[in-house]
Amino acid sequence: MTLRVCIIGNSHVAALREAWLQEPGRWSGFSVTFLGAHQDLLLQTEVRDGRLIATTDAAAQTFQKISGVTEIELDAHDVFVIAGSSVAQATALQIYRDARWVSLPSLATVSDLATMPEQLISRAAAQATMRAALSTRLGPRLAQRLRGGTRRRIFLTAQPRVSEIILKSPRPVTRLHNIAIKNGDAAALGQAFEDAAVQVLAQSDTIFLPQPGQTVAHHVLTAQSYVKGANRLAASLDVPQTKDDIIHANGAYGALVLDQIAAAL
Amino acid sequence: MPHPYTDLPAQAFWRTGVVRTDRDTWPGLYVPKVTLTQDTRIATFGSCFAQHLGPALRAAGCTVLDVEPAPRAMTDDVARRFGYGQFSARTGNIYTTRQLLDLLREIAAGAADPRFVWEQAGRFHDAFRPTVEPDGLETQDEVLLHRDYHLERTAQLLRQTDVLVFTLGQTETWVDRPSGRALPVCPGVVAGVFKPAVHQLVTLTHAEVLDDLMRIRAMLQRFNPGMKLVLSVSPVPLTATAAGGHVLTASSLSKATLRAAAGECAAGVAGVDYVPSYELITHPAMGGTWFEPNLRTVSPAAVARVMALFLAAHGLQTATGADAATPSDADIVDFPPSLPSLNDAHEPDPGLADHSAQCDELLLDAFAPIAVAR
Repeated sequence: MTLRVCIIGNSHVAALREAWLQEPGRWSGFSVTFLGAHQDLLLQTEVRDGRLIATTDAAAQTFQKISGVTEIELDAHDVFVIAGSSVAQATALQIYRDARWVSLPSLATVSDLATMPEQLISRAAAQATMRAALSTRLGPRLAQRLRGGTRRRIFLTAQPRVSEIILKSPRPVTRLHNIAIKNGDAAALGQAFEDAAVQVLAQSDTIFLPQPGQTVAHHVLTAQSYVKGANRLAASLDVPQTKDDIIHANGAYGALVLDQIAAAL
Repeated sequence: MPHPYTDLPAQAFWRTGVVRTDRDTWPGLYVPKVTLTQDTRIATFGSCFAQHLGPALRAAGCTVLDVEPAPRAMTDDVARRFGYGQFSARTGNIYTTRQLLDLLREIAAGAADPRFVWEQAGRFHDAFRPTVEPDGLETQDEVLLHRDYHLERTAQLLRQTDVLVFTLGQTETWVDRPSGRALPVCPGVVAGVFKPAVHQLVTLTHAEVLDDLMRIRAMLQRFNPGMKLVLSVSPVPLTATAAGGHVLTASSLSKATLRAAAGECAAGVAGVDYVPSYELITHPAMGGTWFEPNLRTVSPAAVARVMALFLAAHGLQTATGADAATPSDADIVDFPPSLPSLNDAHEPDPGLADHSAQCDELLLDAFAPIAVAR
């Protein structure tokens, strides 16, 4: 029996769509419908009469242009997979910016906690902060919306971590990634993010699929081989990301995520 | 024939000072002895009513210190739940003078006492601020680590404070007999185990409160010789009394004791002032209903009224609050200074200016018998 899978999400859908189109026979156990839209456009939707429909012209036009559909009939799918959708490792780094907690290895090296520039907070406070941030993101909100209309399984695949190229070419917005790696805190932050994502998504009975392990570099980055050549989410399938893009993954990454979904199914 | 009443100002007489005065601005009711400007480095401690002060002062452009600020990524809700942004350090509510005095002594001693880590269902709580970590911490050592951190940060705070605004909450307190230390909440309510042989209810007398205040004043000046102290009394009644009487008379006794001691301290000691927030909310002459229907929670209008008069007296805004400033990032002074923000602008919590102050002792209300309607 072929499982009918609906993959829905923001620009990170592109990597999965690319993989699917390159090797359709690799996942013979399921058929796929893609619905992608940039940024938070997927929130301009509602579930009505068993269908996820656009509530604005902008959303409807984008759905049609990029995915060739204007709505998703929920009962026509056995499984929903939300891709990326801002469920990102950066959530942990944002609290790391000016806080440290006991499970971070670097804390043991601080001789005087009271003079460190960051705040000492509890792991519970850090986790609560991450959960609060994640719950506002597109992915969990979309999961809640879908859950309001279906009892079918919902998965969410993590947004890929930023490219490891930042180690060679630092960017102002990834300074904390470098600091976390240098401090030896990257593994704990990676785990903290995944723990928080699991907890937030459990509220909508959604299963979190973490980033495939072989694509992860230095715990908080994506290996360059899975970023190089990434394409944009567009009507055309081969529109490359800009040269300075560090947040989107390529088809090889998408293939591993599809493998992960297949294994989960 | 001249006599002492001949040349007194209008506010000295009930008729001109109360009945015929401008009861929006109450001229002469509060004439500050300790001056605050926008550059004065202010710290706030106290009972739950004191949680309103920091946001209001910041909104007026004042320099309110916070040595344990919430990380910028932390939402207001999470910050409030974990005791951030309420006072100038993450002290939790300090209800009694004895609690503050003990805290200052602990800071001077320089180390947390492992006897005051309470276990509750496998989690560990700081007995002196049991609600700042709502789920407790994982180990006793972690509690001590956090407490040592808190003590050192609070010491840093006090060394740079020009004016400490301390709101006195009540006189009933539970004391650990062996150490004599005052606890903010009775053991067993939030965490810990109540032991009749160890935990004793003490109702501080006027003399004890006054003595505490004098010692507090002396200890504060060890941190910063120029530090001034502004006292107020919380208008919020007790949630419960364990002293054996009625909660209403227990509240009256508590507030009267605190009011008298604060007044005496302010009148007799240079650099100590008293702000009549208690009178502004509870005195019959103030008219209006300044409490919520539970007759305990101070209404937002009452808080605004107190803060407007307080700020106006210092020339920081008009008494009606008409030109109240809007809180902004620049109003918050972190120590150490915050790192530059990448995103997620960190706003001060305007919600704290509402009536939802975090009162640990409200937990006692859960133990009240169910009322029987007549």
